[in-house]
Amino acid sequence: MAELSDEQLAHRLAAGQPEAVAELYDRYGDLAYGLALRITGDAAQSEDVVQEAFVKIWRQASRFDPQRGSLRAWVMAVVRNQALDVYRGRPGRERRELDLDGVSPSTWACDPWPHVSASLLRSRVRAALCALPTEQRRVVELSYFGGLTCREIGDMLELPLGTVKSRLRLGMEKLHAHFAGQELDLDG
Amino acid sequence: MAEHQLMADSVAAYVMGGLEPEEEEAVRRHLRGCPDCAALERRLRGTMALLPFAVEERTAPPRLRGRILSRLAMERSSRRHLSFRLQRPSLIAVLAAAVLLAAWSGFLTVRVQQLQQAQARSYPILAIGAQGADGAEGQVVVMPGQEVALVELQHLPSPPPGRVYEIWVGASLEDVRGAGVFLPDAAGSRLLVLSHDLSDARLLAITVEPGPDGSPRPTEPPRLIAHLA
Repeated sequence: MAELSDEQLAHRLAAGQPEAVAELYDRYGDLAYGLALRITGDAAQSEDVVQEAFVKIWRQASRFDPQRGSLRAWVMAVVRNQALDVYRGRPGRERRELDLDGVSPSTWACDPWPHVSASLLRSRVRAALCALPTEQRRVVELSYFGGLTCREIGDMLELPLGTVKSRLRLGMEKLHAHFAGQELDLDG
Repeated sequence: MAEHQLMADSVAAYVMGGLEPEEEEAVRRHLRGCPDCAALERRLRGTMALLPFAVEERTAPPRLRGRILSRLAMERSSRRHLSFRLQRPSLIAVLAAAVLLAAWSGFLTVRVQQLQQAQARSYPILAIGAQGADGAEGQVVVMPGQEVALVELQHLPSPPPGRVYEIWVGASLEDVRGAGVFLPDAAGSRLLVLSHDLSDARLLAITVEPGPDGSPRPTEPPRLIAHLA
């Protein structure tokens, strides 16, 4: 079981095999818990978040299409949405972008380095974030990890809405350029 | 051009889920007719998919894995119960037809036996020996043909620091396999869902083993035991 590819693991998840969930958790449980903890800041809530996320993944595994994205990106998207759901204190049904349907395949479609180890990926992504101008990084982090809307970020930072959106786009495009520029190194 | 730039800014916010509902719908409509913005959306979604990997892995509490698997075992069990309820009228219809067509036939006898076998069976879990589990008790509920069993325990003393309770199932004390580790709550109680078909097991035993993961084999005589026959 430990040597299964993510694609094979996804097939077993879709077949409803509980052992596949155990394997998935062994692979990504700590990463999922780290993300939940980053968003909620609460250990007990993070446990609940990860539990609910993995249950959702098991229920909805048949929707996973390995041709459209990596398993780990999907897992993390589900964990993020579950964590934001808890953090914002709103039931999932009231937040259209937080239920699993909101995690459409396109949301997790492009993990360009599905075979890169988590530690290497972490260092790459952190380097990219650190390379951003502070004001752009702050907006990106508040949006992604804080789950704040642009209006909420504007209120918090006392910035016009248009400035928040502009910084968010610029930051995300720079991240994309940074990742794209490193793709050759990683492939090589 | 400036208007399109504003829309591009909104596309980034849309991808991140940072728009108000009415503006989100406007961006969605725009994306259907603007290849440039649709391409931007795809790029930024790919970028966003990488952001969670910036966080540090944190060691999740060991109990979390068990919580998730127990929850899934309960879901599987409830699905099967639902499936049984939905099928029950047709079973009854089959039985009724069998009664009409071939009362007292061997077919009817077999069907009734199958239904009887599908009933959950409960067995007491009793403390044995003198190893500090006196007063503990519980029951195990076995559902034949289903890979799930419920274990309910009460009045369990806390195991020594660094040790956990481990459940074993098998044909005899010499032939058991581990079925999970647990700690009782503050009141000494615990309700567990085992993802095991215990139809063929003859006993369920509980020992105290080194934590947090238990042992591959029992390292002490059982403190509690249930005979499943």
